[in-house]
Amino acid sequence: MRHTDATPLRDPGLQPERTSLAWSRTVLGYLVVATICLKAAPQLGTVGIVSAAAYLTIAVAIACSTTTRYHRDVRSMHIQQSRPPLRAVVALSAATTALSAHLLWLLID
Amino acid sequence: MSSPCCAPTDKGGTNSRRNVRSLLLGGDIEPDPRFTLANERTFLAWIRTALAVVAAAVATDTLMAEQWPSSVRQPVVVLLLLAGTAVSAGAAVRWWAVERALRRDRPLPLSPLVPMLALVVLAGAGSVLVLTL
Repeated sequence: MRHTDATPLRDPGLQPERTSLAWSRTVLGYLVVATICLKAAPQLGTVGIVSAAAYLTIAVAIACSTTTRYHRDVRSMHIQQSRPPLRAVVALSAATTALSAHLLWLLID
Repeated sequence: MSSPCCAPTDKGGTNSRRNVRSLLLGGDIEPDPRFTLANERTFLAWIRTALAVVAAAVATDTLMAEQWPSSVRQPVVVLLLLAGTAVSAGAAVRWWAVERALRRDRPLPLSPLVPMLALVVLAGAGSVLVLTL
């Protein structure tokens, strides 16, 4: 069991920075899918535009929280207390699953 | 764990959030924060993979609209979208399973997503190859 008064972890693995970059790459991923949906809008119809807007919203939401998240991660290394991002994981996975299932449902029809 | 001294910036509500967290994640071991961050990055990598699969599906559906007949295009697109849905849902399950194992100091579970994705990518690439040749 670690305590909050522990000495800061020596972290030559640059974990918070790599995690922050992973979030930024994920933002780019959502932007790519949004662009492709927008490009496909003439064939997909309204669904293309709605999906693109949804993916874009997720991208913006993540981008807005990246700096806060980075500082929180640095602090979690400092106090040696992990901070599992339960809500972010559930929200991101649920939204991505729903959008993918929605596209599947529409393309089957 | 519930020591009141966490940090000066911690406000009310953190405790209830921690309760939900311990309910879902359990375990009484506070894992090394570096491992939690590694698990977070792995989750994001799975999400990005799911996005790539969905992007491939939408691109196939629109770019191949004229080259491939619908009877050929449809199965490929459906397979890719099924995989995209499964991977993005499985990413959270995987994250949860690993986080639970970390908090119990247990060996990490194997990921069923890995062989599933390998098979889907193989089937997708194989069908594109056969159709192009």
